[in-house]
Amino acid sequence: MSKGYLIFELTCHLPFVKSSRPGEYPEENWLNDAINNTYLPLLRTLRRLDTKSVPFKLTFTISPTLASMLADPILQERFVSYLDSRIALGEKEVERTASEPDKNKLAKMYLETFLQNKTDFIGLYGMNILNGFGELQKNGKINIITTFATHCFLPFFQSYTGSVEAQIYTAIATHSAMFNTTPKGFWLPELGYRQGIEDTLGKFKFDYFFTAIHAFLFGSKVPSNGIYAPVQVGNSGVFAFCRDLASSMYVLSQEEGYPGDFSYRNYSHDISGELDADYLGQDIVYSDGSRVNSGFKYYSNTDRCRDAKQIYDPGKVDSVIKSHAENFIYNLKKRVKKLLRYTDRPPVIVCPYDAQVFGHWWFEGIDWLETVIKELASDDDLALIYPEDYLAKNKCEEKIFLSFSSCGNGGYSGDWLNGSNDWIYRHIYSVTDKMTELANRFPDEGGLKRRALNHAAREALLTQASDWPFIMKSGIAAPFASKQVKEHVSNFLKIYNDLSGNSVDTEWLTTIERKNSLFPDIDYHIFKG
Amino acid sequence: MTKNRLQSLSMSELVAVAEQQGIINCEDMEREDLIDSIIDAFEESRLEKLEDDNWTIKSLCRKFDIFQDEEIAFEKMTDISEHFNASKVEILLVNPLMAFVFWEYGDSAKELAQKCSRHNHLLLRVHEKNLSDGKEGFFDIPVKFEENKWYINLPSNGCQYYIELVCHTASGDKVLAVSNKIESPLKITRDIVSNESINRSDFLVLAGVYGFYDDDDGFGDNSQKIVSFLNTGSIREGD
Repeated sequence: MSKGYLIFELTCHLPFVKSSRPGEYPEENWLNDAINNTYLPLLRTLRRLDTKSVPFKLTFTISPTLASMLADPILQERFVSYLDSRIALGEKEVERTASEPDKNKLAKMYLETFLQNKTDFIGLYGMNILNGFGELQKNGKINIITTFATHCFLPFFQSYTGSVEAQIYTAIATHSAMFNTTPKGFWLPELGYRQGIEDTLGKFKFDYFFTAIHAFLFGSKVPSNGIYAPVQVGNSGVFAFCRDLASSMYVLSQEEGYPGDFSYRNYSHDISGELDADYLGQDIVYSDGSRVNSGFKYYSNTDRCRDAKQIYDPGKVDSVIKSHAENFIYNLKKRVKKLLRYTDRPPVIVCPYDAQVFGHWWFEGIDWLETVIKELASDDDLALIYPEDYLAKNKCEEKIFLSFSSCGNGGYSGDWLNGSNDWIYRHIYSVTDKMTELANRFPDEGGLKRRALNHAAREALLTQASDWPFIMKSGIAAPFASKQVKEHVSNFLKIYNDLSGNSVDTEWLTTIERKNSLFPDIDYHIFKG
Repeated sequence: MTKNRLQSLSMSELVAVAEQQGIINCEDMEREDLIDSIIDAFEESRLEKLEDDNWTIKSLCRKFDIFQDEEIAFEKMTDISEHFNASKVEILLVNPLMAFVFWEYGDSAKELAQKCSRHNHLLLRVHEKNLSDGKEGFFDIPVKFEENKWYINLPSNGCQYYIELVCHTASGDKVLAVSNKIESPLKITRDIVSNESINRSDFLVLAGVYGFYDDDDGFGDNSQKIVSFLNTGSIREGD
């Protein structure tokens, strides 16, 4: 039996973004980059480990909006176009860098990866990578859990219990349709916790969720095992696991964590910032002049002391990755050893990461994860575990009432509520109220009105995404985030006003249903409360 | 922001971008100087934003940061035209010391609210109830008719708060709307640390933050609220 356990939770989430025509929104590349840089390479790695019979247990949250986009045939086609444009650019890059051997080697490496990703995407997964995740889950190698349908920030919906239930109901329906299983665990977006959600999650038969540290420490009492064992939340029968802060730092910090190592590839320097628009092509330089990353990045993290950009050398990083994986395990084992003096059971260290840290931002992150998994496979003291397995092995009878918390700056709501984004909430709540009103005013509609009501429910959920206020605050693509919120609110209000006038604009409805095409089986009655 | 992108913009567009970035006297600047100033301003603002963020937030930002150029909004986007049927006031907790309040007037309340506002009699009445001893009280914040939101400081932790939107008239107070209720979290670290059953170093180990205090481990500060709680027993505003 292991002395301690490790839960790796990888959150896969993006907000729903789909334009009416290809090339309209550069932001669609959030999804394309995620599939190309993280999900396909990660699946390749996990399949390889599985084939070699290396044991591993990873918990994945796949958000309903991301799952909906991954399953969308139009977005799948657009991803193939994305790959084709990068492959074409890669062929040009191999030629352009012919006289620079170091860059040329990298150009060939990137081109090969794009080609491999295309082969996997089309040949292996039939254009839908959810099949890859589903297969790994079927083999017992990963455990997929869910989150709110559109990733809303829970603390702001405390007074809107009907809406929270609509979010959960839609999440479960989407998850079941995509993976043919019922999720046992729930990811609270941004680890945003408010008292009472445990009862709602219990009502929907969830067993556990995750929180930030201060949810545990500033609750009704300090749990006897600190943050290193789950607790029963109040009288709900639902358990909470708490994330470990230090292990976040190893992976997430550019300054103090592994990804900032000078031998690793630099994320920011991309040829799209340097070369001519004609050369790069219209899939990288958009018609308004804005440029997205091409994926061709030739430099390593700059050592500020040396003050000169170094060409990235993949041949040098293997030993660094290994030493970082060993260091991670060494530190966790040291922690477990210390904790065993305090805890009455093997401590569980919870490491939740956004999946896109691996491969997308930290280029070598997937290799690091693979090395950690391989090292743990032969380790007697520390083992990967699923949350439900830990609960089954260890009686967790301690009951605690948790405290309001999130993973945001300062630990509360400031990232999702400040001067840059506070204007959205009056509209979101108004839409939510009006949707509930519609569900009650039209208790049993069919045909066209039902279609309109179902789409109104879709738009109401879309307004609630936590991503838009977050992006507004971050300043990255802030105008786009504002536009998205305004568009969803306006779409909803059009349906609301049309129905109030006893009419439905069929042509417009058909267009908007095609655009915001997620949750195909949504039933507006979920807002009835 | 790439130089290429800025060079493709007209002078009036550059001035508009410069103004958005808070650059003064930009209309008098030479084109190349203006472009350099804008690039500097974007970089400064990007670094400032990053400085404020903790690891998790930085990692979340990175997945959206796929652009070599920031999106530029030249035209103010159309506001949502929405009619609010009834008066409403809502309170949201930002952190244990601060809440955000917004409100709307229904058609029937507008005239009265406008009249009261002229005499400083339009009020946000902040009700506070201490959850440990049950004591209740309230304080008033005068607001203008044109305003529709306020950030308010919450004087106490471990209290329940709600807001009334009130018109103070000669014939008495008329409540236009009552908000939802929120609870400010308890500030209990000091109680925990002073609790005999658990000492400070044990607490740090069980909280998983002992490394942040061990120089040997080489950890730096972190921006989680937990650290300020542990250091001072209270929250430092702006952490």
